[in-house]
Amino acid sequence: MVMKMRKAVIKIAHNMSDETYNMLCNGITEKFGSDIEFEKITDNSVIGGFILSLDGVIYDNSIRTQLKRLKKHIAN
Amino acid sequence: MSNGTFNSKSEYLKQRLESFEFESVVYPYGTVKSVGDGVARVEGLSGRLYGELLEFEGGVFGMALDLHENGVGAVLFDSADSVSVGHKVKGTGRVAEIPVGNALLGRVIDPIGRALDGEPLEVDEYLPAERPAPTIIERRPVNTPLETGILAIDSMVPVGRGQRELIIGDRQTGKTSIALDAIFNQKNTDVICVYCAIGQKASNIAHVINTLKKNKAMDYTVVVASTASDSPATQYLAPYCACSVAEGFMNKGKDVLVVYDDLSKHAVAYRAMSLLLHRPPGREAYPGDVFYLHSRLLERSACLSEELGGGSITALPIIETMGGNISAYIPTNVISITDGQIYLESELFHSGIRPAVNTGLSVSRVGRSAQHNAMKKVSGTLRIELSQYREMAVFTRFGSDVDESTAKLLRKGECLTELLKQGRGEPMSLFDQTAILYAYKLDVFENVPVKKVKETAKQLLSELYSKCASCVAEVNNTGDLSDAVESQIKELMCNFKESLK
Repeated sequence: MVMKMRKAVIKIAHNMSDETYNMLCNGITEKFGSDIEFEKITDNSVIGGFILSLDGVIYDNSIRTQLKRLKKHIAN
Repeated sequence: MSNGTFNSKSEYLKQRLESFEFESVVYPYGTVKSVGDGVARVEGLSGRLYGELLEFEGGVFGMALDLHENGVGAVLFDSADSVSVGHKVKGTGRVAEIPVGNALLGRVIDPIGRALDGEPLEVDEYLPAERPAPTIIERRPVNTPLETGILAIDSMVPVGRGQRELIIGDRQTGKTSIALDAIFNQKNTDVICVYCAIGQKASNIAHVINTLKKNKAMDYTVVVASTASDSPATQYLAPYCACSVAEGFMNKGKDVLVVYDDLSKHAVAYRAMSLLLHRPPGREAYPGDVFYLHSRLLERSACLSEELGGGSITALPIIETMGGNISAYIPTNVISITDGQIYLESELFHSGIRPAVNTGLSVSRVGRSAQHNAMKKVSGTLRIELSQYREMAVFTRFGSDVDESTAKLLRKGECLTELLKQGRGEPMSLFDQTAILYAYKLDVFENVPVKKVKETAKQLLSELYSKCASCVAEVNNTGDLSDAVESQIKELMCNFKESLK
């Protein structure tokens, strides 16, 4: 029986090494299950970190978003 | 910069930086499945609110209006060019909101809350566009007049604060002019005005704003504008946003006048939106809830009780009819919702009777309770006299032989019609209106040829102003015509009548 794979899209900046990326994928399979298929998108506007979209939810751990949060935090 | 403030600033920064924690931002997203005609179908993104704002990739916003188990249908506020299939959509968790507060006075905004006059808009108060109407217990009866400064309206179809009075008529009959005159007349009162343009030509809106500026009315006016080229969703949202802006002022105890110009275009925009969302069409292809569309908007006009600050929203919705047909679908709907209507007729307009108010078909269901005592005293039988004259005028059009009493009726009617004519941007104060109607009652203009009636009335007013300035002030301030003032004015008028002979 062929298992239906869930698709995960990871958005990262160019400067992430393959080693880190693999570690990231392993971490995600550990947390969400092994039936996950990965797709990598590189986008330098992410700056650093990663944005994972899986099962209709976005987990945003990018430096871009954190900087935006920091800006708001300081302004308040 | 002194050292002290520098230190405190760096301290502040340090403290803010230290209190900041790296946190993963988690939110649901959907994917655009199809997009066209300003409507996007999104897969995923379940659990949205009705009317929630959705953010599309590229900074375009939309509103979720069709909620399904595993998808939503959304209308787009901006042009759909930058949205394409496969784009991610994020729910914002907020329903459509509009800035409110004093910062908006004198400004022009669009229904999304962006300033259209090229200046930055700084507000910290927001209200949702769709809000429930005040409940029964929160209201009090309408009993304060809202003066429009137009003699024909203030005397025969008075508008009270908190009332909804429909302005209805064909195109080019002066509907917007009446609404604008009403706005100009609020200049030295505490009333705040909101003008909402729905699906109008941008040139028309620019013209209205220029007129408002020229009459120095922008200081107490907010303009909420959606042009004909805006998406149907933006046009649909415009009156609700204008109402929220007005509610912001009303909740602070202010009296507000809102003009919705016009609701027929609003219904058309809603029809376009509904058809694109595949909602079943009903009569004239309008969706089934087109009545509720307007009733929930106009129910939000209210006169709040004293406990809630006693503010009010007076609504002047405008409906454009086709060929004078007030029994079409949307006009009858809105007529039945509002507390009366001012019916403008193109025939009257073209025969030079402006404002072209058809007094027979115009009514105010709040009526006399929303009139100053002075006006009540002089305008009692006006409507009946005018309709008797109109009837008789049609009757005698073909024959010239009429008896003496009919001739008198006709002459008085002509004189009244002439007195009710009023130019644009020439609002009349309560005293002016009372005096002119009182003079008509005393038949001061008996021997004046019809063409000179208006001129003579002006002479009479200037004479009253010079000889009886205290009466002018008293009537305008108290809103009453006391016996002392009445006898004084009467004497002056009788003398004036003598001098005309």
